[in-house]
Amino acid sequence: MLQPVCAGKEALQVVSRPAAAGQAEERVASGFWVDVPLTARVDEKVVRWTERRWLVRSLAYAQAQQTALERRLTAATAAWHALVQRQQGKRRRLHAELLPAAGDSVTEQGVAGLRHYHIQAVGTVRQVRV
Amino acid sequence: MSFVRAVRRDEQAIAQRQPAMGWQVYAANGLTLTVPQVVWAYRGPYRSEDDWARLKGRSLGLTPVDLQDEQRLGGLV
Repeated sequence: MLQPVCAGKEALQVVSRPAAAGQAEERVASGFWVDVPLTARVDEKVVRWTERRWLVRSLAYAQAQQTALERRLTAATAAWHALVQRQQGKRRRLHAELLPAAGDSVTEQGVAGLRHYHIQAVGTVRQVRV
Repeated sequence: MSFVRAVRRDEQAIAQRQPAMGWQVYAANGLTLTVPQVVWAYRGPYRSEDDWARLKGRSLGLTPVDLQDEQRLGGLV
């Protein structure tokens, strides 16, 4: 339903909060509407009517969702770093286990496709005296 | 064995998601209302809960119903 807006084909009506005398109005939202013809069968009769659907973008709600997304991105990044951190009593994960676990943290936070992550196992050779 | 790790935000994907944020849908069979009329009608309906909230709020906080001492009641009001 938002495709016309994203394509710039639908003009948005602005909603402003009435301001006190001498002050500028505060823009709080913008939106548009679509009329949808609907049909239902009631008592064996066909009833038709038109429903108007208003799609409104609240600036405060958009800001809140943006803040929540940033919080989830931060949480997913922290979970990603915690995967390979050593800790007493914590089993070290194998390399093959890390990527699925990282994918789980991304899915859990709902930020799939918003981050790129890379991990590489580096082996070290230790000389042992015989 | 140690791990070299890197994580990077996909700013383009994040920016593409932003236009879809903040949308709400209202629906009715009244075909004469404009967007501002619908928004303000939805934000300002009568709710009985508001009356109780006003009684229990800071300005009319008459909540000490368990008090027996008239002086204390008077002092709190």
